[in-house]
Amino acid sequence: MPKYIGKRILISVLSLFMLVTAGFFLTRMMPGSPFQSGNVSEDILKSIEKEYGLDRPVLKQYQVYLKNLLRGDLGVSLKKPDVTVVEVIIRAVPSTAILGLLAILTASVLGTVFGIWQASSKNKVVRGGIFFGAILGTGIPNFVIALLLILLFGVKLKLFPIAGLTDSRNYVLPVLSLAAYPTAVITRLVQNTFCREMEKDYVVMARAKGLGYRRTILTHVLKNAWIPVLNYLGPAAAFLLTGSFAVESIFTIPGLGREFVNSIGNRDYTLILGLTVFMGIVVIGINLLTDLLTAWLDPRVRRTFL
Amino acid sequence: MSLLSVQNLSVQFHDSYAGGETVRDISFNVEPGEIVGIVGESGSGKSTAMQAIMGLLPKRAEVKCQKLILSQEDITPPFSADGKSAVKEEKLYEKKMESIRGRQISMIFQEPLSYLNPTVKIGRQITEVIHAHDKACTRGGARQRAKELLDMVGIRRPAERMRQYSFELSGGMRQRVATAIALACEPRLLIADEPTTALDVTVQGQILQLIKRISKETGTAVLFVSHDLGVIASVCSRVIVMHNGKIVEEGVTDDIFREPRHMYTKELIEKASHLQKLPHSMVSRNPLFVAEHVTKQYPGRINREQTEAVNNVSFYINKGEIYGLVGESGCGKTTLAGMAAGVYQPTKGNILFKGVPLLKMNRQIQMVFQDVQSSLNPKMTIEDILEEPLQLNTKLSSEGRRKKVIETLNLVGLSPKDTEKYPQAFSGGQRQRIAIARALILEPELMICDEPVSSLDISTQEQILELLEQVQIEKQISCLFISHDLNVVKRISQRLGVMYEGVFVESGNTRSIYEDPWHPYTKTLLSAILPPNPKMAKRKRRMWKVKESGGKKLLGEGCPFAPRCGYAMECCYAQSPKTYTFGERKIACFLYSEEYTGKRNDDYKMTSQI
Amino acid sequence: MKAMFRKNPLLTAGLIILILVILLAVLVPVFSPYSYQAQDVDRQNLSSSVSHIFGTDKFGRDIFVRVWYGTRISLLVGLGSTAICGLFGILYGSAAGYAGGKTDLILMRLADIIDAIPSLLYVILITLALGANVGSILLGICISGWIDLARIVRGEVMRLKTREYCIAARMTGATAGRILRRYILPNGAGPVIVNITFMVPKAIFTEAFLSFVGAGISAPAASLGTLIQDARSQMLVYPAQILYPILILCILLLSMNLIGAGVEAGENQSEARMFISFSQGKGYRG
Repeated sequence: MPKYIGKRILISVLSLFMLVTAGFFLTRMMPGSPFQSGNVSEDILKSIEKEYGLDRPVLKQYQVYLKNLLRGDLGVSLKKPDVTVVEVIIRAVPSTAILGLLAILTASVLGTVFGIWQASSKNKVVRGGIFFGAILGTGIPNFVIALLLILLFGVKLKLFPIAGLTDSRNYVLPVLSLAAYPTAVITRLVQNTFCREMEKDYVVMARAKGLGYRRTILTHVLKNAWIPVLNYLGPAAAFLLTGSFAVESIFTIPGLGREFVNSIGNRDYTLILGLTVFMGIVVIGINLLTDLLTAWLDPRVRRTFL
Repeated sequence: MSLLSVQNLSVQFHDSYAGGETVRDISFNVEPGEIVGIVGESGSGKSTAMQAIMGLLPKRAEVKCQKLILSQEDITPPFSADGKSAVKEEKLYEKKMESIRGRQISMIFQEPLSYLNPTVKIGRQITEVIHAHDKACTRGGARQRAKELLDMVGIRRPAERMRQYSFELSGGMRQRVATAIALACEPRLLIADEPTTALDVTVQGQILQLIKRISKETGTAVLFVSHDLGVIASVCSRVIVMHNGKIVEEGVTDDIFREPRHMYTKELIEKASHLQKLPHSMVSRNPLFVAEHVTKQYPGRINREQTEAVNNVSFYINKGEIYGLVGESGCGKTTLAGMAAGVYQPTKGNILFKGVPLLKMNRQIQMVFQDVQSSLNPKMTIEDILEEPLQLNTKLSSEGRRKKVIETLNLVGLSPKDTEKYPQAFSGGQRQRIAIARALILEPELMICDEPVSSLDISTQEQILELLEQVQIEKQISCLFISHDLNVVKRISQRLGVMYEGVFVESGNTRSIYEDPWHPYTKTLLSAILPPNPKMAKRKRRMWKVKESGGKKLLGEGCPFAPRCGYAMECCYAQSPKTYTFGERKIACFLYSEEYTGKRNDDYKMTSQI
Repeated sequence: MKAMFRKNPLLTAGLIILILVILLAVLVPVFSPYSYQAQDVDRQNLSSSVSHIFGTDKFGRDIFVRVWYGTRISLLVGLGSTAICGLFGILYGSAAGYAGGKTDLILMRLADIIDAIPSLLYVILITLALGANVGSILLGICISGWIDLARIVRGEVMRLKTREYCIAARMTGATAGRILRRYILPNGAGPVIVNITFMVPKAIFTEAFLSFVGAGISAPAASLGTLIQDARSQMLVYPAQILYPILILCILLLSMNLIGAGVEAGENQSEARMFISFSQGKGYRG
């Protein structure tokens, strides 16, 4: 097990290193300077660039950036010189994290319920309905869902507020638009594995023991059917983070996603790179965690680790 | 008063559900405490009938039964017509069966690995049955009972085992656990559906004894389903023979085996007895294939359950001879076959083919495999499959290739009309014929048959063996014949080698080994063979003493069989025995060493030391 | 057609819709009197009429033409990236799977390293650095788009190469290429095709998403994502302007997903008859 964890961490570090490197050089290649705006003269531009160390050779800048990164310093925002990137992140994380957690929770619960319902319902309409619902959920992009929800519930029905994060009712629409896709994916996963697991011999054995239907599902099938869902949580986290770009800017929520989109608009290199690196770390961390969780849930995997 | 009485049970499948065998109007009784055998080939409907009694069949199976009575309780499955009342009846039946299954009737299955849930601990899988039927039972009480049960089925250190998962146990132990689960609520009837088919022969004997012992001790009646006449002969007091979903014959075991009345039973017993034959003729010594001190290791895979490693193996195959290789699953025989075919290279040692080292695959060596499902490419027609080797290796015209294909098909007993079909259109036996045809079409000098008949029914087995024998004589091909079944190997081979955990423990002339085995392991294997004859089979009750290895394997030095051997001495654990040669016979056991016997090996006329 | 529909309704329905969308995307910009970028100050924010089927936007541009023009870009990105990723993924996966051992280990670890980061981050960085055009979006998608497919191909190759028919073919002298072509790929095609069909909607989604957050196709060119973003500022006043591109985008994505689901159902023969597979489990009656 320690060997396996070590290997996983090594790969994670390498991924992160690659992201930082690619990100660093790509942001340096970006056209247009962040300080360029109509009336700034060449000289002033040069002096500002000097202040930020942008006049030094790129490789040197890269070294400095890596060194600072190891110390947990992601630099200063180029547009707002008085805030560091880390401060921006710290300010933005809570809203994004709460939204993400709520979304993943909604998706896991709804997905599992719908999945099992579809798999075990005798009603053709229910099965077909959930199936097409899942296709819709995987097919329609989250920003479209967000816009449609605003039009329908915010503007037409005026049921929920459409901007900010002041009240608990503010969370409903953004969480729904974020959760739609993962819910659909989990529904399909659970439906598929549930059907497959139910065809396994150990289900026959459980019946031969005289266990009831409910009991068989609870003690035997559900655990096995949930393993693929757990594996999906890593990609889901990645999806929620990137999904927040659109959803947060639509609902004007002060989270990571909106900061990111704004920094794209502002050409704020250090902030773009800093946020990218931070999201990379989060996704990698969650992936690592779900792998360990799978190992804990599935003794077969646990064994191959040893 | 019968314990179980089945009257006119029929099962039909409406769609082509895989494994759906029909059962046609069968009736029989089981008396309390007796062991009744149900014998038949695959597809005869024996398993379906058992599941129908348990009410375990899926909805797509239509079960019709006039009366099904378990000790005065009516458990006849409802014959479902459509409508509300039918649904209600089904529900009631299901409810009733839930309390019967596991408590009154319980079942053990063929492949314990897939029937035990891999993610639930052994202990929980036992205690949940107890909880399901005895609501008042406390947690501690159930655990205590589970321990007793594991102890009863012969598992040592039960408390430790209960915390383990099914895949951590050996095959025999899994089946013991399954038996413990089945016995948890002291059922009156135990249905054992091919409980030993997936196990090695030496373990098979232990499970059979366990079932017999339990039946005697607890008075549980057993319905024992098997395709193996030897197994049936050794455990059952009464036999029911099934064929194509019908019962063709029923009676006391001795009578049925002594004078079978029905044609089918006669044929079945005759085919099984064929295997008892010994091969004829000797071949002159003219080695075509020689393996010298061949070793294959898989470094870094030592912890795996089945290492399939091969350790210092030497043997040779004469021209025009069938050489047999016997060993249990995981003993390394498949690895050895791969090396003989040139698919892998040995880590140490040499393989010589026609006097030249075999460094890569050679067209003169071809192979026939065990699994008839995966040995033919499902996306190619028979003609494509057989033509490809010719295309790649000969300069024949398409006309000439076609002629050769038809000629070879005729040789293996298939009709040339079949060339356009895909492998899926053929039965298991026919597919194996096609595979043999593919191996033969390049006219090889050596054919390697890796368990070629293990996945086939007895009657088909015999046909394929006959075909192999005929082809071998006709074409004078040499053959390395590998099987886990000593019966099959000794039926066809002139000489044979016995393998245990990567080592050749004994090799020599088939007849002499069969008549007088020397190595303790060979003795075990031979004593585990159950002849289709109740008198002989029951006499085998005193099995050669052998311990179950318990999944642990001896690493490093020492004889690999020592932990299970009843004659193990100190030296057996300390160092591996050398191979001692006595004429044709070679044996790797300290019982035959000079130090132990004080006899010189070469010209001394050695006999079995135990 | 009817027989095909009955056999696989999902696939057929998806294909029909997709063909219609492709036809419109190809034909409308060719035959329409309006250009996608010509502005007309006299005709701002018109609602639907005969001359402007979807109305006009705040610059007086014809939305109908712009929507179908945007669809072209979506299709180009979707099909283009699928072709590139598909080819590369199959080659990479087969190489890793067939070679096995060290080669496989190194190749797959490399893929893991790229795959650990959400691909959208790479795509955004690349479009920012290399300019917002179809080329850089394709490049961005292709950086990690092939990895899932490569894993599946590798798995299939690994599973099938030890099949006995492959060993038998090797023994009769078949080369590695021949075994891959005649034995492994035909038998492992199912999951691979399913994965490839799902690549197209994923790429279309990525492109629309990028354009929507402002890192994709930029003005005056229009992709569906850009159109939706442009119409957002007036969403509350002229909801129709945002609904048309949304509608077409959803239809496009749904048709692709239907095709994917249809192919998948066709592959799992047992479930082919229905997505509405119903399972009470082995042995369950009642």
